[in-house]
Amino acid sequence: MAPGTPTDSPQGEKTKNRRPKDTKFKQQKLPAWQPILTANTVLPAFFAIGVAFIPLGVALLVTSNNITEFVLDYTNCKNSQNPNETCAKFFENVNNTGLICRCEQEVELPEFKGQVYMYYGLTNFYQNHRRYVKSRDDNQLNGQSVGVSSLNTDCDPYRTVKGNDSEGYAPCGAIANSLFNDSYTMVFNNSVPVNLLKTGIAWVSDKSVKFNNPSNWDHMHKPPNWARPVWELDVNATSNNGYKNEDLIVWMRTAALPSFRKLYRRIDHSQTEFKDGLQAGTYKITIDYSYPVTAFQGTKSIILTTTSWLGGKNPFLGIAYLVVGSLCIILGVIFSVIQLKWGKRVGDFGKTFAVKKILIQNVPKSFCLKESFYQNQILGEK
Amino acid sequence: MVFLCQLLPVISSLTPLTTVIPLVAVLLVTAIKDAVDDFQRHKNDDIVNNRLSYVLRDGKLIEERWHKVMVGDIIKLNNNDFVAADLLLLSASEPNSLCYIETAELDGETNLKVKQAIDETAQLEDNHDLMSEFSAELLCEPPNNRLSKFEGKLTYNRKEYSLDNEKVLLRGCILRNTAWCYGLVIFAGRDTKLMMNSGKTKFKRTHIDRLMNLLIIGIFLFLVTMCLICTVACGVWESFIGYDFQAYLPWESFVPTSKETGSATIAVLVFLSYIIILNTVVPISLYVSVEIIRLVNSLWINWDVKLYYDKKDTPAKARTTTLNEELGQIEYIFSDKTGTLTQNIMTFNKCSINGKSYGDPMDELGNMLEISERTPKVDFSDNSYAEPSFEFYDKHLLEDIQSGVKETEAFFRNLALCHTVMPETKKDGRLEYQAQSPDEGALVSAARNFGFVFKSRTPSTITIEVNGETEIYELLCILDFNNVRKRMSVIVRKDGKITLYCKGADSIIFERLDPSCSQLKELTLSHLNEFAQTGLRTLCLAQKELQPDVYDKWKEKHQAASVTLDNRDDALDGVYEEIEKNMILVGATAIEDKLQDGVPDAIANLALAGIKIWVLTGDKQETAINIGYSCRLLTEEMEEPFIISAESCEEVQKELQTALDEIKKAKTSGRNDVGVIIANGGGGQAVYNGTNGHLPTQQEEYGDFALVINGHSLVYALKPELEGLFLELGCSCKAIICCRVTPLQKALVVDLVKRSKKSITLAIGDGANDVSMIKMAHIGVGISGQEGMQAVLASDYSMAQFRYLERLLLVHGRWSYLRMCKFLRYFFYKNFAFTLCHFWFAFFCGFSAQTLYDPYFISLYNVFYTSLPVLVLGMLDQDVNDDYSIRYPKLYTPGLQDALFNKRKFLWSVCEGVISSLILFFIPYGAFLYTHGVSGYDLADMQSFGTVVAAILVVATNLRCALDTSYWTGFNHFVMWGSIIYFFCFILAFYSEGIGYSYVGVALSVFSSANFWLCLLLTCTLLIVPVVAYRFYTSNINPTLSDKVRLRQRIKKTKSRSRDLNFRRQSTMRRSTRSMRSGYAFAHQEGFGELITSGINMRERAEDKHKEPVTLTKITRHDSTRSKPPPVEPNSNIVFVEHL
Repeated sequence: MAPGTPTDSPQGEKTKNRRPKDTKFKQQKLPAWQPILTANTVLPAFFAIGVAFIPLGVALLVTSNNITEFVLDYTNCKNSQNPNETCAKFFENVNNTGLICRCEQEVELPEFKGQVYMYYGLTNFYQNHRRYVKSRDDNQLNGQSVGVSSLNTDCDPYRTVKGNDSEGYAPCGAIANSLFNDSYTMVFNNSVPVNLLKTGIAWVSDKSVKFNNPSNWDHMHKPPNWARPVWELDVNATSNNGYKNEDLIVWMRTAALPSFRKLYRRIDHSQTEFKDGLQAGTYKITIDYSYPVTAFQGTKSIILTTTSWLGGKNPFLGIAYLVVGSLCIILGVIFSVIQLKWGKRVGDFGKTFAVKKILIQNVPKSFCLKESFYQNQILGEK
Repeated sequence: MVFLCQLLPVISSLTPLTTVIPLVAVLLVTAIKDAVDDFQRHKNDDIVNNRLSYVLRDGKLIEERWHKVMVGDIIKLNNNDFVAADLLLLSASEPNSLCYIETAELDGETNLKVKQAIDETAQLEDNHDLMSEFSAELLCEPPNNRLSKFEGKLTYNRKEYSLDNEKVLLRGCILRNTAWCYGLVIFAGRDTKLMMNSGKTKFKRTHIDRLMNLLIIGIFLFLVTMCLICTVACGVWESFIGYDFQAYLPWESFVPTSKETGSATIAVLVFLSYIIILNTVVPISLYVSVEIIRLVNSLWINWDVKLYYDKKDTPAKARTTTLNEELGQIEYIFSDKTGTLTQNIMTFNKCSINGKSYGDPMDELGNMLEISERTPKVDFSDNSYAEPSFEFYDKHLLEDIQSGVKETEAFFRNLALCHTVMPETKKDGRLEYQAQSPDEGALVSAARNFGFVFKSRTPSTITIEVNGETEIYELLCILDFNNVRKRMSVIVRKDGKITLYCKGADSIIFERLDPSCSQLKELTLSHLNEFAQTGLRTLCLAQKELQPDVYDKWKEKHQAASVTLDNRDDALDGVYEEIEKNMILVGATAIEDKLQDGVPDAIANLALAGIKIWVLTGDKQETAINIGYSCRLLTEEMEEPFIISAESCEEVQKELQTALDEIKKAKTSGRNDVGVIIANGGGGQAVYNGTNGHLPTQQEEYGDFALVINGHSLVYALKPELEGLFLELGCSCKAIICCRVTPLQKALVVDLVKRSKKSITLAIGDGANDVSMIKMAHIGVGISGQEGMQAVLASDYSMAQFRYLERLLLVHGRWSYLRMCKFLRYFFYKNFAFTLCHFWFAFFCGFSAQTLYDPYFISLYNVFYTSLPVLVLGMLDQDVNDDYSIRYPKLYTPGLQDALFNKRKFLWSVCEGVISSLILFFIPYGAFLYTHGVSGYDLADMQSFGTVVAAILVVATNLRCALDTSYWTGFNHFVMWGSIIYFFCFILAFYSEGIGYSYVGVALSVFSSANFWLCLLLTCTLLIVPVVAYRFYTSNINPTLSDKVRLRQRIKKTKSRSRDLNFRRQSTMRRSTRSMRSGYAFAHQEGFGELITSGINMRERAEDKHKEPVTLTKITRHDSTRSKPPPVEPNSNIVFVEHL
């Protein structure tokens, strides 16, 4: 029963060991910044955001509009062998699966300044479907010696050759099997073929880290839809062959949305004719159409575009910035008006404050006398 | 369950790891916390269980722990020991095997009670050999919770003795003024009456817990709805698109090939998949986070130096760490009186002698001084009997005594003679008094300090020492106290002069005064009023000289009355009445039942906060009302309290109904002339006090009525048919005092309010008699630092003083509530914003349950990226500081109204979350659709897009948390900005080449694109601006009190940093103009007078063999037992017992 000993004796001090430490932390008195949303800070902030966003929006919009972009939807282009038939129709015939339907399109292009990229675009193509996304084996693509039996089961039904579990597909899975295999060539003025570069189109990190060729291709077969096995994708350049093939790498980076574009080729600007971009004029685009999409209401297109610091042509951000900036300005104005009106209703505010005097019973008089002072301060805040 | 689903690869869209990581973290933290909690609880229980008591085993006394005491053991108790079990008293040190016990722990009564052993067992005395051979058969009632009854039969030496409550010591009592006693254990452990009374320990959950469970069910339904939508949509998608898309993405082999059944099969599986990926709306980490926040908030309570009581070296302690936010929502406080509101110390404070009032210290000019530490005390050092603890500030009284003012001497002589106190000389020569009631002790000790020392008594004499001279009075008669008489007198003879000294309630004494002192009566009355208004207990003193013949005549009547068999008490009262008249008024005393420090302030402030306080006490009605006034629970402005003290169901109903009618009448007639009226208009809670009443009053239950109800009446009032009425009345009164209630009744009252009002209740008490209500209430607070531990052990919070309740509720409770509400609102927001992005994404991925984010992000989001800022917010946030929280008690009302987190607020958070998720998904969607990087590379791939949304999500939700934070300490800054920076760093590192994760290179590619940063800026602005606008609007146009006080706090801080913020109210005394109110209260029990005159409790014993044996009938009021003749002590003074 130590408690109750006199406070001033030294022993008493010793027994008082249960006293909590009087630190700022334990007493919840840490120095702190206590922001308050006042007119002084909020209104200027609104105007500032408005003032910053509107010019930014304009700049973005201008940038986006300066990008030259050409889109050609060739889903239903005519079969050059049989002008009465579209290529889409051609592939409705099951016998034609695996064949190529060539179609040629003459297009008038505006002038493209700077580096020009060629994309293929697909719509309604669900590269982001769960079963599609997981249907791959990253270890296999990385060149690790993955035995057929240890291939990712998510690759099914494109994992092992039907009826023979010891023979696998390289690469396995639905993504690889559905590799986009249309090809384009482009000729300027019916005479100058435009050189298309098929490297430098994939992410550097993908090409250097994620995709590597295995030491051998034992027990590996080409995926069913493919015309050639993976080790023959680009027989001319070993660095672009096998899993290192950039078309494959680009395709394997699945798109987030069912409508997407993927980089197909870069225009070779070392050609003297195209050193500043693409000249305006007539181009003949030849498409080797072998990828049917109409069965699931998909479309295909070929896109030529330049880039800016923002990337591709997309007015969305510019417009959004303009809208948000304007909204902030409008909000700022509305609140300023309210603020002014409210400023006239000081009486109310003062009253609630005055009323609180009653709450603080027995507070020294000097404190209460300060009330008017505070009211003025509050007014001053506005 | 979700976890198990994830193990099925068919439906799982996530690796099992994504659920395992948070699950393991959560389980680990919970386990650690529970272990710590359990350990602490055991530690406390062990303290009680391991208390030592002396048990007789094999003829030897050995120390045994409490929990090893068994039925049938014989225990020895020493003075001031706690009784360890329910005991049958075998023998005791005091004469006639009497022992005194204090039952404050049990029933709150402070006076001592006498217990007496059966004679046959008393012979065992402290002889261990005899004790160990003691063999008897004891037949008793089964364990029950009736404290005032015991029935049993002891068969000893082939004789039967009936046992009743007078022979039983109950666990929880304390042995007082008795050197030792032995007892036989009847009930031990849980069977003891105390434990039977303490009710079951229930697992307490807070209001918010229950709400949260409801919300979780709601969220789960919402989750199922979303999944159903996805399922149906998936079925549709698969049959229209997916079926045709099979050229590139064939259905799984087990899916039927037909279009309809195949789609349906896939859809059903997708339902489960969506349950898995959307289950993050019901975050596992929620409960753990809540627990952590509560734990930390409990630590703040433990660490608060302002809740630390220096004198007893007792800090406050949160014994339960799960109830903190409920402290911010208390609407009813049920408080014990003795030991909780009061210190259980009586001090002689003031007096009025012969029309002169003493007690208020004056300076030379006659101005009243405030009593403080520095006020000079009267110096009693001349008096060798003075006690150092006695404090008196008015030196005039001592001066008057020293100058020999006759009336003053008479006054103190009265005090020194008219009482039933027993003196005891300690071994070191110190004189100590054993008073049956603390009031009486205070009066006698006051007389002693002023030089009228009561030294010793025998059954027929009283020895006092006045200024060094011994005076021996012959004690002729004690006219004992009882509740009806409300007075006691002694008749003494000295030098042939017979004098009657009387003290009692003013109203009673004034009726019996001689007409000659009417002038003095007026003066004294005005003094009494003054005393009573300051909450002091007053007594009047009177005296009268008796002519010997008058006395002799009266004595005969008295003799006759005392041998009457029927209605002896009434007959005696009548006789007493005859002689106690025409007395001369001497003066009046004022005793302060010392309140604990700061109690009135705390109560006033809590009442201002809208908390209703009920006092439940085992004490008497007068005492309770008196304390009610002195602690300002009852105020002078109030109507006279309604007193319900009927003894039958009908009468109670009638009284309750009458009271209720009166209140209604007063209200309808618009008599809102005084008191606080609360206007609850919307969010602004302003308090208006005034007579004009021009403000709308929606809540008028704050009338100025008070209710006092008695234990007997409470029995009926708590019956199902009356409880509604009682509750209605109780809630229309501002203050309720229930007196003479049993521990169980306390619990029943709490339970009634808890059940019917749906409000949060808090019970506070210090003794074992409060355990039941402490356990029953939502929150139980125990006063610690006292000797008893029972209340503390049953409590959820313990602290040393009642006044700390103010800080506990208004500061800690309010903060905890605020923090918890902020936390929950934000947490739900955060998880909805996070999870629903998956739902929007479903529309673009063919409802295939593809996750938008990296699976690792999903598992880390709640634990690592966004939890810390909001946890710190939940630990440290404060809207206004503690000083302001106490100064503006109205800040507490949002908690009472449940305003900060309820279903509406929750829905609001959910809506905000849903809208945020829309913005979070569609802004990047718009910005990244068909875009590519500067060098033509793909940017709109799954991994990049997911990372973009994830990064924006982390930044935006953390900024949102920043917006909610109103108290930015270094910790907040650190975790807030730290979380964001950590996310970016972690992603960069984790997606780098070295790790070899499939997201390799994504972070670099995303973070190097301007598109991403523009998106981030835009989305965050879009998410933050509306919230800022809304908050700015409400805080400026319709500010809450909190907003205003905050603003004020800041102005104050910037304008006068040096100003002292300490505006605590100083004075507890309030003068008022209300008319007379009796301050009479006396915690006294009749019966001691007879003990004294019969000499039973005297040590010095008369040689009175020739007299017939003294019967104990007068003590026990039972004729069953007889005491044997008192032992003879050869050296004792020869004093004959004046036997009745």
